[in-house]
Amino acid sequence: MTAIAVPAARIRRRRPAWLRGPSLIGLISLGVWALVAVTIPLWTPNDPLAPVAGRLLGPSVKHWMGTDALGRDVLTRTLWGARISIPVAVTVIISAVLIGTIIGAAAGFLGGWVDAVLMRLVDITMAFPPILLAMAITASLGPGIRNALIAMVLVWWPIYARLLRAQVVAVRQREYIDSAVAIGASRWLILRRYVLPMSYTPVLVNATMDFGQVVLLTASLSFIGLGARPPSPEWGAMITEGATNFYQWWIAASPGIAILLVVLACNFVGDALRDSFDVKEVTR
Amino acid sequence: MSADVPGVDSNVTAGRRPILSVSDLCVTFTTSAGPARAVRGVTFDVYPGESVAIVGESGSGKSVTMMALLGMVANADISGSATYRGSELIGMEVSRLRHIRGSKVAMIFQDPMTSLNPVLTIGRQMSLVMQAHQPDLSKKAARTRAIELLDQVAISQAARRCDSYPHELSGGMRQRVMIAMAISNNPEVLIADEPTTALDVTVQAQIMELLGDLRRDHHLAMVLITHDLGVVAGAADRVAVMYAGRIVEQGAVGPLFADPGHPYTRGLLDCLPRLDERHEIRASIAGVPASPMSLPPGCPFAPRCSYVESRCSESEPFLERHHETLSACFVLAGDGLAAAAVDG
Repeated sequence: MTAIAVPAARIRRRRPAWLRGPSLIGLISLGVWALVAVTIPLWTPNDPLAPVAGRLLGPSVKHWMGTDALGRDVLTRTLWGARISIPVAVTVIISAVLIGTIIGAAAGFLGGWVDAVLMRLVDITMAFPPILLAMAITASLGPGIRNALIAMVLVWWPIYARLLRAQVVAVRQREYIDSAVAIGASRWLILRRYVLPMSYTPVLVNATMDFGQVVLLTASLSFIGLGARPPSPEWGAMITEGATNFYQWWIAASPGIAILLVVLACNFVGDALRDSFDVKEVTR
Repeated sequence: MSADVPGVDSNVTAGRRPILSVSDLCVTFTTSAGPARAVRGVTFDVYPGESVAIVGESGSGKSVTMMALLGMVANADISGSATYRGSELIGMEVSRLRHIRGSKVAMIFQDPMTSLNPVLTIGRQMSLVMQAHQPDLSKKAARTRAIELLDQVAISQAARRCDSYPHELSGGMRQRVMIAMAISNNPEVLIADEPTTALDVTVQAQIMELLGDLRRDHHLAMVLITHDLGVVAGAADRVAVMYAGRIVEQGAVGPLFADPGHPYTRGLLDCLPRLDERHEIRASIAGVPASPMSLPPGCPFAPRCSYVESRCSESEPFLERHHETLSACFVLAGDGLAAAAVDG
């Protein structure tokens, strides 16, 4: 009857889903990118903006990802790219979540005409493909990474507003809200301590996944010349430069792989977070 | 209502004013299928320290009545009056009403499993509720008071339980927490909406006993909403029986149980198992409760009533004296005493 014996490892309390498997890899990889973004000036292998070797050299021991059309080290530039993409994505996600929370909570909690007006605003914004709207806004504000950031916040907040509103409307109906009202809790207290903490899960999960999407959108805007401009080592802008040197694949592949790694890591973590919270909902 | 209501002990009420006074309260919900008249002219008083039970089937309007007087019924037409110590509650602004909810009139709900905030420890949510009414109460003082209250509602290891989340407690313990929270701001009236329905029988008895003790210790007036006449007999001074949004009979517990003056009350009492009789099958009241969407003309109970006469479907009876209770029945109350005697 050895089959009954449970391995000791099984009995040990399992780590939460977001600290296991792919999600752990994702978290570590995001952590490494963040570390690179913060510390790269201290240990940069080369100057990201100055030519360090001959033009269009292939990968070698000295320059792992080769050099670009101006003789700059591609790997160095890719690592410096994290210094742009990651802070931009963090700022966009935090701002969009903040705005989305305020609008979504107001719409869901107050209801009536406030809800109707705010949600129509959300509908209008979401009627456009995000990339198209972001392009239009950036173009009208003028190209540049700062304007691209503003455009992305404007495109992104409605997602969170709608998610949060749906949750708030559902949580507001729960019986414990009634019982809090009956013993005299104010609306502000109920919203803050009773409704929002129970409504935040989908926003949190989506924000994690969207982090990768924002990195991608930043690169896309830069790729078409609306975000960061060359010589800036932004990933999208680097791919544009690489696109003109089709046979020197390493120039475009290097930032491309960087984007892939970040987006993949975010999806891993987001998926696991969603699973984690789902389980919690079921066994509540 | 005046003090000569049968069942209101004149010794209790002599020279005293009701703490809660509801008169001619109507609540009508507008639905896509037409108006639903959930409460139709309910009148009753609650005196300080007294326990009043409101009894009725599901949908008879008992909960809606109490929710309406705390301003917790949305999307409904509410008319009539409900006063707390003379100040009108119906139509009061929410900001003023909030200071009455919890600190003067508190309410506890049926299902303790869903009535607590799942993301806050019980000590924390008790503190928040106290601080809502006493803004200058410090966090530490609120916690001390929370532990004291948990102790009062007989939760063992109160200091430790204070840091528990609701899901870590049993149903009975959660209802105790709800009660502790409801009395934390020293209200004068406690409305208990079916406080024991979701609990098993032994726990029910403990909770009712606890409510009785608290009522004595804090001189609380209690409004007990229930469909369980067994609970009423032990815990209430006075009973109001509701049917189809109206009080159909009202009186002191003793006389009302001994000599009910409304066929509906009789039906309810016949449903109770008795120790001194042997019945294989309990009687039940035939038919279904009247729908607030389509009330029959005349007495709403007429279609299910075994005493029904032709006049019952012509006009609706009002409360009239029947021996020691007030009853809204043409046949048994008022001139119908002979019929009652025959039946007895």
